[in-house]
Amino acid sequence: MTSCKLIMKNVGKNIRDYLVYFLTLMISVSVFYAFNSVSDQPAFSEMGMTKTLLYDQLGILLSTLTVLIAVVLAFLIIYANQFLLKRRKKELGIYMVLGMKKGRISRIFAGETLCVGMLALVTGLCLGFALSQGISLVALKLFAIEISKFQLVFSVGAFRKTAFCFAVIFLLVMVFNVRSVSSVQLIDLLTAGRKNETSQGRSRFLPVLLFFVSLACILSAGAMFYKNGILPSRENRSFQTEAILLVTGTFLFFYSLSTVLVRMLRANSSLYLKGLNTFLVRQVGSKIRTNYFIMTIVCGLLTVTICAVSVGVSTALAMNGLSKSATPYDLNVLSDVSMDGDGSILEYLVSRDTDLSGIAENMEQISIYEVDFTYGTLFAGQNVKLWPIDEGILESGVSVLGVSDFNRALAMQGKEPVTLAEDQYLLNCNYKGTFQYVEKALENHADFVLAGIPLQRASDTVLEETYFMTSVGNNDRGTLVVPDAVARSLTKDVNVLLVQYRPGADSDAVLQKMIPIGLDDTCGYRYAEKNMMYDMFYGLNALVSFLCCYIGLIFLLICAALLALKQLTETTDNIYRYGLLQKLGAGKKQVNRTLLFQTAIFFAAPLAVAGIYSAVLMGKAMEIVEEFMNIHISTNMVFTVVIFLMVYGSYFIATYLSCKRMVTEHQNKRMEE
Amino acid sequence: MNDAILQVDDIQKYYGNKGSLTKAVDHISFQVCKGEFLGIMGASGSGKTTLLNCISTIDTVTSGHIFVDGKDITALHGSQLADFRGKKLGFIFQDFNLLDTLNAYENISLSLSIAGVKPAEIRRKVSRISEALGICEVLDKYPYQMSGGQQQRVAAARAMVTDPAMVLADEPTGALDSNSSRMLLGMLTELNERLDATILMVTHDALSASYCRRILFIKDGKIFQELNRGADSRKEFFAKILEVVSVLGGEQNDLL
Repeated sequence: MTSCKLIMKNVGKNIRDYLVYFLTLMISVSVFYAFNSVSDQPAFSEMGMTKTLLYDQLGILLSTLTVLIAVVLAFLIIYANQFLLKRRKKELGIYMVLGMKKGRISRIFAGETLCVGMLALVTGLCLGFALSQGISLVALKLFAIEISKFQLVFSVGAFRKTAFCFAVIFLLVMVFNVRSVSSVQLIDLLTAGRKNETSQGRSRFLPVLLFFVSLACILSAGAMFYKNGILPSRENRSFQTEAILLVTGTFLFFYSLSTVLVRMLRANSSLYLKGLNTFLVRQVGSKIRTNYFIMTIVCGLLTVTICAVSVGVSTALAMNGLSKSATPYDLNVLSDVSMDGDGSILEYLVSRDTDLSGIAENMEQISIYEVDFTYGTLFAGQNVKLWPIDEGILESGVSVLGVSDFNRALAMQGKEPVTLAEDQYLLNCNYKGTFQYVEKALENHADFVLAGIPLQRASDTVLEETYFMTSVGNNDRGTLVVPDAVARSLTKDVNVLLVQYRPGADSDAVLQKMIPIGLDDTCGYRYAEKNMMYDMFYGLNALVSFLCCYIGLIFLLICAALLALKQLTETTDNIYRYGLLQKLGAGKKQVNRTLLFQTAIFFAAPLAVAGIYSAVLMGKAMEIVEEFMNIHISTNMVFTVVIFLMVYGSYFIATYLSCKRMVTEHQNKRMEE
Repeated sequence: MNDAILQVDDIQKYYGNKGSLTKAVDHISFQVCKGEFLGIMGASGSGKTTLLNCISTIDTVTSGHIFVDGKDITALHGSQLADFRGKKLGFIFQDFNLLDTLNAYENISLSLSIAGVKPAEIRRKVSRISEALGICEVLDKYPYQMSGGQQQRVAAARAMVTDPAMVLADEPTGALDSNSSRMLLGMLTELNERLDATILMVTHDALSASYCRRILFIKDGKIFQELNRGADSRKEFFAKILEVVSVLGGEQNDLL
């Protein structure tokens, strides 16, 4: 019999053991694929310029998160694998006794991992494919794109990313397998079932002391959070201290909890000695004691999930303030001079059956020029680290605006004009990603030559005006404001028509006419509209909620899977104790009840602590929410909570049922013998 | 003796740390010749299983040497150990230790395929040993479909099929009823006589021990006495064993 056949047989026969592992893997793969594939939905390419930018940001955020999540998933999968290995210690021992070399044993286990892994990868990808269509639909709705544009699509990029990430993870798992196989002692393997947990030192007062220390830590952290708020900021420097206090407190809490609990319950002997309570309390006690580390991690992850939601929400709200200053006009129409020629945009629009004169209160057409030197030259000598989406601008020419055009744009906003002598220039920038470099560039260039004309710096400060509209927080990456004569000697890049509507104007009617123009590939006319940009802002809001749900789901999955695996391992290890209980005359019902209680406490303890933490943190988050009165967020939370409880609950039930089956099966086997 | 297949040379095995030192095996030396059926008897905790574990390389000795076929196995490492176990030893455990993912045939053939024997050869050897042990009709069954006696015979077949220098049996009848025990022991005797297999059996049961040709009694990690069957019938030998056991003391409860 070849190793290959042995591998297949083992996988087939251990399918039940592999189930938890398989499920965890499959769900991880599917979620991973689904969220990475959203950015490949072709309907998104139909979006306008501004939306595309926003959408690019989604892609970047997702890929950053992807790395983080891949790391956490790797941890989870390796942990699940160790569980499998532990269950099969004896089998490992038999292989070794029969003279199988460790290398070959490692290969067999690695082969099994690979087998299950491949299966999980394929099914996970199928599931992920289905899931991604659903997510795309939701995302399309969030970004306000027509559903008819939606297509079924298999994302090669996401597939490649998923396959690569999981290949690396499987590789790691195999390395771990080989390592654990080659470090084992045969004698330990054959007596694995008989090993007891190591008892801890019997200090009487230390745990109680630690318990109170932990409570003090947690309470003081809570009080500080209450006073200073939950968001780290410049004013709130104590955030780190609070976090450390909280983590230490939680750690000590779970560490000392069991001793205190057991001691308290033993004091009440009528409860302690009733039914199987003695056994139950001791089991739970030893469970919490040996698993305080896992419990702390789970508790932390659960809390982080909820915190991520609140931080995300508050970021979205902060954007609200930005959006107002970013939309000083009702409509902008851009025209690409190289495609459409240099003419009046207004006239073109009339030719396309769109007469703005009736609806507009103010209108100005300005021209943006492009010079032959690039942003790269402008930022020369600086250590420039742009956000990945902006990297292209280093090769593109700097935008230039004539001072009169600039002043007309300001006048529309009711702002004072700027004055500029014939040999002077100014810099304007209101984009966070480039502002510091533009500022430095202004400092570096007291004067420079533009189209043969030497220009001097007119002011030490960079202007932060919005002379045309783009998406929120994503405007002017740096524009030179120069005398009109200088500007005229350059090449025109785009003409921009700035429009402010009359009060009560029907903006939707205009927008409907603008859409086909914006989508027409034969001309270079594009537009930005205020209402649409507000929609986009809500899109951004939605984006944040979307990401929060994603992270929440992944972390939740990890928590539940960790607990389930741990509980299953412990039951396997303790199976003889349940056998003993039944031999002592405990009924099946009693034993099941003990199991249920144990599982419930194991799942509930970290959730309860995380729940209390979150309640405090959420209270603070709600204050922020109420300040801005945003209905989107609260409904989102209810949804999250429901999903939360569903996933967590189903893992709990699945764990209880498989534990019960393990114990019952063991009993039946014993009886047959 | 020139044809000694196993030579145990003054071995010791200590457990525990400075505080509580347990001498599980305390200066034991003996030899086993080819084709012998040796029993090792002793009370629980006398160190007999530890002795067997040391010989089978499952455990390591604290001091001393063990030679199998003239080779010092205490000096073996890693893959040499695996090779040694696969080619020179066969194991029979109290709780059978069959792989429940494989059926009886596969369980038996596994040790051959580990050693890299050709498929045709595997078929021949498995059918020969199954006939000898009377398990031809259960070859397609999985461990959980077999009785304890059948499982132990499959385990015995697995141990014998590689023609090992020595078969080590650790309380092989411990989990069997007396009928299955007798059947298994009869078969071991037959294998010993017909196929000239060398068998080393650890037991605390006098009846099982009476099937052996020679018995070493272990007490507190030392050899207490040695008993040869010689020309005695099994019944006479059984009586002699009981005498020694009663001298050993505290063993009355183990009598059947």
